[in-house]
This record gives sequence, C-alpha cells and structure tokens, in this order.
Amino acid sequence: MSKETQKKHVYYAGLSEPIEVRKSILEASREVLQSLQQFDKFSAVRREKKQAIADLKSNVSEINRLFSELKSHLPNAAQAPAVKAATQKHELKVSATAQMTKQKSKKQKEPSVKLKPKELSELEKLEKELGEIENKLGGMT
Amino acid sequence: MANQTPVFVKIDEYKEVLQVMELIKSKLEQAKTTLNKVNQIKTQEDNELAAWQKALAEVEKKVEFIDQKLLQPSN
Repeated sequence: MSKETQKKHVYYAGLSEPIEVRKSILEASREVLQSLQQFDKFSAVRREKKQAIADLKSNVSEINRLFSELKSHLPNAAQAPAVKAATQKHELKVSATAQMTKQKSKKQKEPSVKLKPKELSELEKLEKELGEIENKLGGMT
Repeated sequence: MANQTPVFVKIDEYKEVLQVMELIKSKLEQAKTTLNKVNQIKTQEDNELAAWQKALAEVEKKVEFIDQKLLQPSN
C-alpha cells in the first residue's frame, strides 16, 4: 500500500462535548499541581512534627535524669526486707538466665573471633531500669 | 508498707532536692507545652491529608468524565 492510500484510510473518533473534555483535563492538571503544592506543605508540617517530638523526647529524658539526680540527693536508706527479697529474686533470675545462656553457648561451637560484649540499646537500658523499679515497688507492697 | 521510719536529709542536700524538684516541675511544664504543640501539628497534618484526599477525589471524578467521553464517541 502506498503512503497516499494509507492516508486515505485514517479514521477519526468524534468526541461529544469537546470543550467540557478540554476543561476537565485542564482542571484535573490544576488539581494535580495543587496536590503537589500540598505535598510540600505536608512535608513541612511533618518536619515540624518530627522536631517537636524530638524536643519532647529530650524533655522527658531530662526529667528522667533529674529523677536520678533527685534519688542521688536522698540518703541511701537500708532496703526493706521485702524489697531486698524482691531484688535478690530478680538477681537470682538474671543469674540463672545468664547461666543457661552460658551452657547453651558452650554447647554451640565457639567462634574463632571473640565477640565484644553487646552494648545495651536505649530501649534495653530503659527496660532494665523499669524492671528494677518494678522490683522495688513490688517489694514495697 | 514494711518500713515507715522517717528519713533525714542534710540541709544543703535538702535545698538541692528542692531545686531539682523545681527543675522537674518546669521541665514537666515544657513537656506539656511541647505535647500540645505535637497535638496541634497532628491536627494540621490530618487536615492536610483530608484536603489531599478531597483533591484526589476531584481528579478521579474528572478522569472518569474524560474516560467516559473518550469511550463513548459521538456518531
């Protein structure tokens, strides 16, 4: 088929309400661009929120530090027997778990390279601190 | 309670205890203010999200209309 014959067989689809279609396309484009603008605004709000949460965390950490300072200023009174018992119980539990872990690790092949003792993460430290407080409180009741 | 005997704190330590208590109270106020701010930002964030959702729904409507017009050509 020659190019001229091909041209003769071009078909067109008619669109009803072409102005409305054009208008809709333009309006949709406008809405999409406005959404992108909103995204920037949203990102800014998120950044602000992140900063505020960081500030809050720092505030709460500071309060925690101040409580430790407060404890340090109070005299180290002898622990009540119940508190002592609870603490000892906790210590026994910890040492038993440590022994079990030791035995388990002995069973496994010892790695050729000695691993450094894992430092406690922030969350683990907090859990430990919380456990100690729970024990003391448990001993008081 | 097992032990309710009073505890005596040295007077200079006591002063420091009071100072630390003041600091704790002020930090607590600060934390409350920051938490309020976080809440406000959260509301703002929710509003932004709602506006976004509305805008996308509008776009969807327009796309449906265009699609309909494209799929139903006139004779």
